[in-house]
Amino acid sequence: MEPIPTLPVVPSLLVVVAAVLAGLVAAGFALVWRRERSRRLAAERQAAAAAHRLAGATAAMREAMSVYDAAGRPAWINPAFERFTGFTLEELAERPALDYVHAEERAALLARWPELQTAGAALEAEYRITTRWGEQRWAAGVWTARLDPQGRVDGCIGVETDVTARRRADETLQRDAALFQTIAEAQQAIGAAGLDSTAVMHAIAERSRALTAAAGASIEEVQGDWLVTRVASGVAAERVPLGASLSGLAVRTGALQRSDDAIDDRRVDRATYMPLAIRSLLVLPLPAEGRTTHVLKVVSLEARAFGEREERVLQLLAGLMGAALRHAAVFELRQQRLEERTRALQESEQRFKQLVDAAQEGIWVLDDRGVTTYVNHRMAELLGHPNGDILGRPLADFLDAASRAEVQRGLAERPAGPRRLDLRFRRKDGADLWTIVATSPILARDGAFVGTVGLVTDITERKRAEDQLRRSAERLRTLHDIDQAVLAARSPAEIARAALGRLKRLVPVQRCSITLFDFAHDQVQVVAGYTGGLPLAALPIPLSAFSSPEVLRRGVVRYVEDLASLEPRPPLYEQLLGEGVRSLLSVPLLVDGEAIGELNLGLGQPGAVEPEHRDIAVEVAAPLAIAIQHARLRDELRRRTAELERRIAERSAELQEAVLELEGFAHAIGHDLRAPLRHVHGFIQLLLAEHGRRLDEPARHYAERVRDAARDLGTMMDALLLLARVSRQDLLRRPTPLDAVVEEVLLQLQPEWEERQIDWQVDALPTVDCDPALARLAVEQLVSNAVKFTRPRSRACIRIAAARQEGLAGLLVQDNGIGFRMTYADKLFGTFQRLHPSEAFEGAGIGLALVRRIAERHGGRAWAEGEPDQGATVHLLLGPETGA
Amino acid sequence: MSDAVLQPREPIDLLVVSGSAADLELTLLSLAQCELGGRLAVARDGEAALELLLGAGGPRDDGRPAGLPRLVLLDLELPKLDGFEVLQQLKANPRTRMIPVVVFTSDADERDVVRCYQLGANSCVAKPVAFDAFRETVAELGRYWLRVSRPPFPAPGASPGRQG
Repeated sequence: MEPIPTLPVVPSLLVVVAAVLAGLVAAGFALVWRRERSRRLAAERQAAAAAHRLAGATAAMREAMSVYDAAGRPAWINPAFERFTGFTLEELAERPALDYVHAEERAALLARWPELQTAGAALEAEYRITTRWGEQRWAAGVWTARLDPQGRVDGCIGVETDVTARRRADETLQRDAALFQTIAEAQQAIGAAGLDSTAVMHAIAERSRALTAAAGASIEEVQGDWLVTRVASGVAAERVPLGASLSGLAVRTGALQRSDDAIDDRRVDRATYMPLAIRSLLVLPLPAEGRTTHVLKVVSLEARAFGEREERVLQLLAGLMGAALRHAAVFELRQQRLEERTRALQESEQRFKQLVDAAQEGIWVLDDRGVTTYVNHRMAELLGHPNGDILGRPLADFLDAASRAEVQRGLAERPAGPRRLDLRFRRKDGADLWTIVATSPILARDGAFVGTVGLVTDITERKRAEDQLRRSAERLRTLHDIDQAVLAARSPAEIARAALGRLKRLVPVQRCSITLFDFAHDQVQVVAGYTGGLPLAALPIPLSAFSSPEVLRRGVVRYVEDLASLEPRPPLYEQLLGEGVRSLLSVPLLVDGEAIGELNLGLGQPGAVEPEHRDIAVEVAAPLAIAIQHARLRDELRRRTAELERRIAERSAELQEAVLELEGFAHAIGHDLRAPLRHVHGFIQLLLAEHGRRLDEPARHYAERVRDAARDLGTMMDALLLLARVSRQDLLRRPTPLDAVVEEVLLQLQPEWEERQIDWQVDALPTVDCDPALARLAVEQLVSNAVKFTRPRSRACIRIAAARQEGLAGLLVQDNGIGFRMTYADKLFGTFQRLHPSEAFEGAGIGLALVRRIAERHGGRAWAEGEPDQGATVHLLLGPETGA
Repeated sequence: MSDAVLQPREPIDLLVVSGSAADLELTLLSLAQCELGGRLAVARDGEAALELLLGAGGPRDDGRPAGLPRLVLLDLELPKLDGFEVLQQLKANPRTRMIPVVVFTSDADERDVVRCYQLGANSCVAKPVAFDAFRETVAELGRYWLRVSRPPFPAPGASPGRQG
């Protein structure tokens, strides 16, 4: 341990200080005492002489004199007496003898008074008196017998000197001497407390408490914003705020603080002290190195318990206390550092030990000839040899051939600095130990090569992991490859071939196949397969060739370690055995938990299927199953689609034919039938016009009937043609303002109602996305109908308003015409359907059919509402409303 | 007027091509009634019509191709070659291309009408069923094409267009 030179100084210094102090005190006291005593004796002698000389007294004397007669009654006093005691002679006479003397001393004095009966007798005493105004003073009294002129004793004379001042000084001095004594003791005690700071503090607190007669004392330490009690004597430990306490004030000012009554002292942390009934506090900062880190605090339950004396006491101690604390602290710090250093050293030793012995690194030391001089525990463990086997042998003995050569080369070069070698050791059990060896030459002080130290790191695991990683990467690549191939393939057979072709790279198979189950036909279909490198025929295998068809359904991985050892063998296994397969692994192809087929791997040796092969097969089987299922679904879909397309084509052809027929029909009506009709009409007209006069009445009537029928037929054909055209014509949608359409139609149809009175009400109409030409045609029909069917009304009302429904817009036409029965509402829209005799309302009876057809072409709707004789409302919705 | 085919060398004003005897009769009756005058030729089928028009001789004195009419009234429904074929060949031939052809047929549908115009028809008119309307249409056609419209070549001395 490092010596701490200041240590012994502390106690010796204390002792010296204490001794010096004590000496000073004693010397001072002796000096004062002697001087005072001699002065007093002189005064006494003077007083006695004066009393003797000036019996009868003089008024000018400074000593108080009193004369008592033989009966003991006061006979005379001098003015000094009166000044001293305050009593007049009369007052003195009224009181018992020596009543002014303090009761404690009076009895003794009175007891000795009879001594004064003897001439020449004298009585000296110091005693306290109580003055007339109640003050206590000290008197030094000299009492002598009073002689009459005959020399007989006749009373006594007292000469009393005021010695109050002297007595008080004595008392103070005595107290101070005691104080110094106590302080010295305190210092000794503190010094004796040694170097433990807590013990020092305890001593300080105890002594301070004793010295100030305090109820309690404590030492508080600054900790952040608080003062925390480190040690306490007679009080509880506490925590007071630095900012709002007397202790804090002492810390901040570095000056002693006193509170005489905590109750009304704002500087005091009253919250802490009130509950403790503490009234007086005295706080002394204990500065150390210019900073106050501790305070000494004494408390009392009495108000004004501490005065200047206590302050002085503590201040006297303060310097010592601070020093003692500082030393203790320094000592503790050093002690602590030493311990830490020792601990660190121990730890470092421990670490080194661990490094060498327990580390994962092997350590190998060779001498300059390459002979092993040291191997650590780990190295021996790595090699599987006991330490003793290795020592004294060359490194090369434990290396494989390639590494040996490398080491020979390395040693021949004798490198000056560290090197790194990849060495392969041979373990005792024959296994390889892959290592990285970091070597450093060991050089003597003179720089001579004395050996080599090598740190041997076992990387066998890493090598193995790398190897595994490489194989796994390869496997992944192949699996990915399979996935890709499987994705690219179109038919189950292609998928299966792609998967097997790549799988063969990973697993050394003699035979492999992918089969799909066809339980419906009791067979298993070979989708693809290879045996001895040649493709297998894609033939179905009957289920009976398997040992148990049920096991196929179950969808479990099956492994036959040796087909040869299986008895009895199902026919399939017999065949496989014939193809050179010994061990067989079958992995189900599962789709939604259902086995749809199997991936079969046959290897040429019994028990040749390794866990890895199995993993690979399972990994391949999953995507394979899904891909095959997809392909099958795709095939199915294709078949269905083709079937659907075929049927659509058939249906289309039929439809086409029907359309053509219909068109032919329409054409026939429009053209082929038209011509003869025209001829009928033309010639009957000619007949009537040119020969009518020659015809008799019935003949002319018949001819007229023929003419009218031909005319009606023409009208109907025109209507049908129009209807056909509307159905066939391409729809040319564009935003069409129905306002404009209606306006146009009204203008066009105006001649039809010129003679009539019709109230037209046309509301604002929407702009609709529709074919304007067809819209116009429809509106034309609606308006024309309304005009037509209101003809019986003397005053017709026709309203055209907007219609909106289900996102479609259009218009409605409302009239107050003849109306219709709702039962016939649908019949209205039929072709050539009439609800009224044609004589009453002309037309082809196709108007609303046309309207409905136009609505339907637009994806819209047309319908009618009405009551007989109550008018009708026809709604037409053509398309979505547009903004324009 | 008779239905006799005119001599090829004779100048004609109007060629009526119609496969239907009844139609032809009604048409000729209507023409007669509106008294346009002029020379009239008739072809009963497409082949005859083409023969008459394309087989006509060289130019006449007035520069008008001999036998070429001022107007052809062409029905689409014709025996042998149909009206479209006739129209196409007439309009494809430089000699006959300028002769106005009015397709006068039963109510042709839109596609037919468009096709006629694409082939170069100068006008398309439907034959009304009602005879009154028919007669009026024929009269209007004759009036317009033979009297109002100017022909692409100088009119002969006694052109019907110059009369009345």
